[in-house]
Amino acid sequence: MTAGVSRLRPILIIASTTVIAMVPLAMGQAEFVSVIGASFAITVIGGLTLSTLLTLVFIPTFYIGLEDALKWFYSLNWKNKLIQLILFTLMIFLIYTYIDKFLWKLITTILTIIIIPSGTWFVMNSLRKARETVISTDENINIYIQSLVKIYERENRWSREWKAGARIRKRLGLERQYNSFKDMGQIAWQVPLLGYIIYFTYFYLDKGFWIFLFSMGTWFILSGIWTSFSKLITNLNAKRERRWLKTMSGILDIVVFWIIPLLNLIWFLHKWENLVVVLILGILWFSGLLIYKTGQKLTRENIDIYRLEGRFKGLRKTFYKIVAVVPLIGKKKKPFKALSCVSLNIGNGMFGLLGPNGAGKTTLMRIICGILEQSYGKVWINGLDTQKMREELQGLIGYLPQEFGSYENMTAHEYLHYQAMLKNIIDVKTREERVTYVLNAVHMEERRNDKIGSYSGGMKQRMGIAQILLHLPRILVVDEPTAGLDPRERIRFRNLLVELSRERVVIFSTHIIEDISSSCNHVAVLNKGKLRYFGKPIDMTKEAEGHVWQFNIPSRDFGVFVEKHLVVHHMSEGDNVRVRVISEFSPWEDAVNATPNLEDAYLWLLRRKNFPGSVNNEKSN
Amino acid sequence: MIVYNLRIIFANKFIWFLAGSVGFYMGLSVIYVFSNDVSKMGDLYGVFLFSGLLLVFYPSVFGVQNDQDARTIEILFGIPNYRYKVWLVRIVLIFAIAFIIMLVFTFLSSVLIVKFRFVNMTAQVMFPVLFLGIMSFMLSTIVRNGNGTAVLMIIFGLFFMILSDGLHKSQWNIFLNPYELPWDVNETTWAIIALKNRIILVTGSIIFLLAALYNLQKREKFM
Repeated sequence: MTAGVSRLRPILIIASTTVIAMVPLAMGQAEFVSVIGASFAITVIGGLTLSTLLTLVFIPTFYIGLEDALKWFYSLNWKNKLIQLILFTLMIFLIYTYIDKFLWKLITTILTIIIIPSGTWFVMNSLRKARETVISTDENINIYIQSLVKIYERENRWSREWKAGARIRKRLGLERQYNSFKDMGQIAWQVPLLGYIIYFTYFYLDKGFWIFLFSMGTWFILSGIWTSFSKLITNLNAKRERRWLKTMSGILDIVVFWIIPLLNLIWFLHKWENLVVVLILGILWFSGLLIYKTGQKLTRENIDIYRLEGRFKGLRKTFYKIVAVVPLIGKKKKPFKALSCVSLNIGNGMFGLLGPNGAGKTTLMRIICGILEQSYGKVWINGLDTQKMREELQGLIGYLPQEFGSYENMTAHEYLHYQAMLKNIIDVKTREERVTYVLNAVHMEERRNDKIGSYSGGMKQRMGIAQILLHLPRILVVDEPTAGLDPRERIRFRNLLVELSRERVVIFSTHIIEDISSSCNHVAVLNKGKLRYFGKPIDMTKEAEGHVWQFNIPSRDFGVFVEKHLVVHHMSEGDNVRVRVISEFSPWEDAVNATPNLEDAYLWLLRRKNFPGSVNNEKSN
Repeated sequence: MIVYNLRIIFANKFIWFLAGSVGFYMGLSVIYVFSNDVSKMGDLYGVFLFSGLLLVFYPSVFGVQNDQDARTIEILFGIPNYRYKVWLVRIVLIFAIAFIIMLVFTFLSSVLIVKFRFVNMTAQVMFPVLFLGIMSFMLSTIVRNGNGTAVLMIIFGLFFMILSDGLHKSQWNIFLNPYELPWDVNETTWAIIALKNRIILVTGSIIFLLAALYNLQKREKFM
């Protein structure tokens, strides 16, 4: 690899200079040149380009892949090796018996070399793993969440790697700046290239298809140069406002992005004389441009598609929605950090996740269950990495999402049997016993044969719990299970979870304080993706000590006061109002400290600005 | 497992596509029965192909979206090896059901219209049905919207049909009709072209299936 990297520059210099030197000869049209010289030059250009690509890209990539594949192949047992060798021999026999053309023999042989081992790997790494027991039944479960970060709408790995160089240059301040005309020297080399490609495309080439292809390339180079100039104009205007420069920039922008493609289409029509093809190309080209420009506008102006105002808002909304989903040229996605370096340690018992909407509770739960992949950090279950052993560990987890449904045309009996089968409960007797057990546990046995579509909200919620209990999971993760339930149903549900937590880990999220205080051994408070508290609920009240105040305030002052302070509750007492306030400092002259309860502590944790969170976490861990 | 999966596959609008397929087949069969002209195998192949495509279209295009609409997708993602246990099983069942229904159609035609080897005909029809069905399933895992996938599949279908005119004797023709022997190609060459075409369709189907299963791993995009 080091040898390859150190040879990169000399190989590229030799190849590119030779190719450039050969171009005039390759384009020669005089009789004595076109017979031998041009074909010689074209062969050299093609051969050199291909061999450069092979040397710099294909061979190193293939070599690294082959090395890994061989290492994996040697680690297999003899049965798997034998099966693959037999398959490989069979495929080679079929290829050389039934395929005549050399090119197809070559392609199919390469495909065979790739597909047989990768297919075996694919099969070996999937079905088998779900049946493996990785944690014995007598071992206590412990979940360790280590510096977990989740960023939604994050670019994929390929894009990140592609832009890594630019990011490093930006960080080091080595990014290209266009502040004066002198800075344009950095792109001066592109001007002769543009001149050459214009000549080659519009004056040298004859065939319509190639003209089309190269005209696209020409346009991309031109728009690249224009983008640099446009940055220069913006920077010059920022220093000193010049109206003519701004107007010219606007006009040139229209010329480059709209007029030149139109001129290209007219040129194609002149060359091809095929209106239908030119029209189709035109529609595609201009649609792409429109999507690109609208996408840029949506990103630049941070437009909320769902809150549009003004004329044609329905039409605009539909178009913007299309632009938002078009990959590459559509609206640029804005990364959003949902979890920020969260570390927790969860053992047996009830564990509550408390936080307002959008705090990151659901994201955290989904990552624990392997539904989502984290961006950074790790989740360990008894020391096993959940990213590496997702399928094995999922057998231990029962997850009930916040918003879930079921197949409403099925009865509870059918749905639970289907879910049980998916969870590897294949034996009919065991399955029937398990279905009856979970239906009894959630008090749904009498509605067993009714269609799920006919159930009330609470009954559907109980069905959800029944379904996650089927395989007797050792970790239960339930996301806001009590939301939308009536008080009696909520208490019954909470008691069921407490009962289940005696022999397993139960993680449940809520924004109802009472659920935590009456059931959880440990609680974590999340706000805006950050951990605000982790420990016992009873200790949480200590966090708010000295920050809860009670006092009487005249009714006339209350309106102004309530806008500036966090009032937990208030009650009228004659001309005064008795208030309870959360505040770092005394909010009123007669204010006295009150004993905080869990709700006060929760509100204080959400409001508090300075967090000794890390110290608290370390202590708790 | 099969029964429960069938209940899921047969839910929603599938019944309309099934009715459409049966209606289309019945309508054309009645015309053929009362026609004086002896029906050609090539024409029958076309009828069966369209009926087969109607059968697999809805479940393969709308399958993933139905789970999203029913809000079961997150629960399914929590099941180990959900790709195989849920979607692979369902896609296999869709084609098994389509094969059985097509067997009934071809059998009826072989009795009522003109005698032919109905199992052979069904197998031949199933190749393009399999290819286009799995292609639409793969597209549905990329687009993640049933209507969007349906529009794309119609565009691709039209594109393949336009191409089939120019490629009518080529192994690359998706709609190659093995029962329509071109006048300027001998039978042996035609049999080889048809075989190669079927190998291409099966290979394409396998690649599309693997791509679809791979796409289903990108769980974040489905939620």
